[in-house]
Amino acid sequence: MIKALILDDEQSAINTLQLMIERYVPEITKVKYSNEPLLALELIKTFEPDILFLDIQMPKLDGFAFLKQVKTINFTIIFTTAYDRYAIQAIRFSALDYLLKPIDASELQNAVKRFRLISENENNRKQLNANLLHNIATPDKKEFILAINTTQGTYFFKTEEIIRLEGMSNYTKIILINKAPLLASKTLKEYDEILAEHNFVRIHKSHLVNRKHVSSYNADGNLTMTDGSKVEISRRRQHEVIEKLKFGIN
Amino acid sequence: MNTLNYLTLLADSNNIWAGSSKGLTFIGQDEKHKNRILNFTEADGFIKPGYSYVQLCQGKDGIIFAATINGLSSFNPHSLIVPYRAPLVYITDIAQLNTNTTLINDRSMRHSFLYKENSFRFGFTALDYSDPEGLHYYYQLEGVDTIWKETGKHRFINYEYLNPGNYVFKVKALNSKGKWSEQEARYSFSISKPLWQRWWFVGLIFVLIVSGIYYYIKRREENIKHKEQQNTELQTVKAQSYQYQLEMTQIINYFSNSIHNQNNVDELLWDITKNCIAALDFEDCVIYLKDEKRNVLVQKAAWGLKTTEENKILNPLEIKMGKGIVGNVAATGNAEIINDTSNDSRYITDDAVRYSEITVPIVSNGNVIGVIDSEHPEKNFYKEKHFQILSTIASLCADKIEKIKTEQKAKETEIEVLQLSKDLATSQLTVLRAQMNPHFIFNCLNSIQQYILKGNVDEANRYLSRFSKLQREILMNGTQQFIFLEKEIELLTLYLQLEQLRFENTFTYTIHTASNIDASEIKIPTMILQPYIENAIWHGLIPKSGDKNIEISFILLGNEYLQCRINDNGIGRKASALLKANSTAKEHISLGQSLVQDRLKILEQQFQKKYEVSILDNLDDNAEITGTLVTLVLYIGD
Repeated sequence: MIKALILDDEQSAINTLQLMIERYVPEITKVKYSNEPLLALELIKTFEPDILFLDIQMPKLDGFAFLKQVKTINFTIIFTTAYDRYAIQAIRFSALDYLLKPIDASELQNAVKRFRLISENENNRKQLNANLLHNIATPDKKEFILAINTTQGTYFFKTEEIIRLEGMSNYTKIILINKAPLLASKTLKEYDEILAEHNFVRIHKSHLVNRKHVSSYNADGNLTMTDGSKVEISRRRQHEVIEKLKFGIN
Repeated sequence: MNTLNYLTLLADSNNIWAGSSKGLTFIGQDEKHKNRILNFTEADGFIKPGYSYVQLCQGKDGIIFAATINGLSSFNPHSLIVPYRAPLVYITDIAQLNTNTTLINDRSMRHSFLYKENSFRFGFTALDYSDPEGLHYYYQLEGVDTIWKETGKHRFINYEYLNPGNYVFKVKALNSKGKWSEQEARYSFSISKPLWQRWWFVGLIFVLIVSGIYYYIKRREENIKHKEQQNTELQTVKAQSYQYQLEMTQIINYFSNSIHNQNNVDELLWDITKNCIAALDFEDCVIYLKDEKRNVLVQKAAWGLKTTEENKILNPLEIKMGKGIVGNVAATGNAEIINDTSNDSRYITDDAVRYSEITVPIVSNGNVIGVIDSEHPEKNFYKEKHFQILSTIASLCADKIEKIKTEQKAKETEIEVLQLSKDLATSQLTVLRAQMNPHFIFNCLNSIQQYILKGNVDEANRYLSRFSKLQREILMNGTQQFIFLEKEIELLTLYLQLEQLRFENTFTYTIHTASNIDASEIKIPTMILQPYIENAIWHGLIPKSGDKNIEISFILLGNEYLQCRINDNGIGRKASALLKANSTAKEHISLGQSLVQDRLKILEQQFQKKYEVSILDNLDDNAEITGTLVTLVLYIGD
């Protein structure tokens, strides 16, 4: 039995999601909703939902601000948004789930599947939520903490601690300063999308490097990283990569 | 001898004895007493003289008897003659006549005299009490006299104007009994030679004369040599001047050639600094150019010990006009050689003190535009030669900079024009993409409406979420002029799926990428294929019945180009045109494609590379049209 709460300022969006849940996710047996954040706060206490479908863009109190008001988050949050790059980045950075409106049925199903996996580990969920709040609260991108889901658990690192990432089919090897590398369960492409705004440069289809950890560009088309490792720049990206390394992205 | 008559004469063994009124006289005859005459008087114990007659006779024992009127005397002649004492002789005094001094003959006596003290009187005497009157003196001055001389009874002798030398004055006496002084008295002395006669003086004079002569000869030789040397030097200078000219010409040619090949100011300046080290043996060379706006000199090129392999100055040194030697030269426009920087208050120590410096302004059209500067740790390193060469280089450099600047200006204008057209092209492309999107959007919305009207909820839902996904991707990537092929294929797939849904899977599609293509590395213009695919579906496949297929394939043409083929087995252009003729939706058909064609043209113009599209009919063996092949060739960079 899964209880879900929907918070969205648009009633039509609530209705759509409710219908989608009924149609595609029968595991969710109880659904309550509100288009009023304060009411939703009450419902969290009384209804004790397992999943909160939370709209980010709301005129009075946006999704993130709403979360800050919640004292104890003992539910899984699935954000819903139509189009908000910044918010989506923050959510992805924190390894949390989100759905884009209009909601795709299979994506909804997958999100609920993931909830079932994550909800097994209460502590882990708390950490992820706390990290999201941290990332939202900090004005400085440098302070953002990347949540990395691995088969061993979730790890949290500042971007500056990451030297580079290496794509390995559906996994990504993350090479860190003075730590054993992690094998994250996300593709390099996803990390590229998340980290592009954090000074990371895709230099090869299998390599994403932290610009801050590039110690030199070598004539043979490689980069030497601060940990001494050499990373190949793909031939066709040479020009673009060098420009990015020179002038930075941000 | 007495004047008296000898009355008696007696021969006694050959000797003669004679008697007179005065006494007795002995005249030696035998060998022992030869030439000896001795007188015996009353003092000798004889009878008083005064008798006039004496008779002498000799007894057998030899005793002689003398008979006078006063009595008879006898004596033994042997005892009478001998023995007797030898007189003792002394030199009593020596008078130095020139100085009129008397020298006492004692131990403190002077023995050496100056050449001027050359006249002496020697006084002497002998002691003989028996008969002082009978003493006779003999003397000899060794060094002057070769024999002994007699003074008689005179007891002094003068020597005057003696020559310098060593002398021994000797004197001896003979007494009346015929006895010589047993020992002669001696006085040795020397008269020194006058200065001009002394050996060392003469030696000195000799040496002086000889060395004088030597010096004279030497001087003469040197004079000749010097003249010869001057001659040679003149020749050398002439030769050197020629050599110098040649060297100068060579160096300047070298620089001139090197400068000629440069077409970038930075490279030119680096080249000059480098050559200064190589060709002129400088230890460093720095070129500053004036920043007119800020009125400072900015270091542009520096070659020397500090230089790293990269031609880069990370933090260029800046010198205010008028500051230091460099600033001064830039301000005055006069080149300077500083032979000792420690004496120049303007000198600014860089990383180490270098004692000499040469600074030459680069002057263009009467304005100082920069400075060439070199420093050297040795004092007085820079010579006239360096000055001339650097001045020439500076003027060559100024000309070249002027030339490059003019060229650059022309180029910049050209680039500006190009950039303008590029900007124009980009803005046009944005407009074109914006035009393409609504076209597609409304087609999709139209399809969704169809599902809703049909009451197919799931299909409508699926269609909608794909459409929104595609639309989101287009929104995200649409502003980008280029897109990774990978992404483009993703978008095309979404689009094809949407169309499949719309046409209820009445057509199939395949997308094939050649194995040598890495779709994650190649970028192509965003959404350039979609209009052709759309056209193939709508106008090639849909009107057709039966098997409908569209094949999309990507292959590489060399390294620089990607060929994209859209091959459908539709009805072909001719049939489509016929259908169109009967249709009212004329505009719809050509819009997407014409927009792409415009984009391709602009891209071609922008990159000066090939962006082409060609459309062909597919023909079967019977020359029947079996579809349409659209081929795009896109530049993908090297």
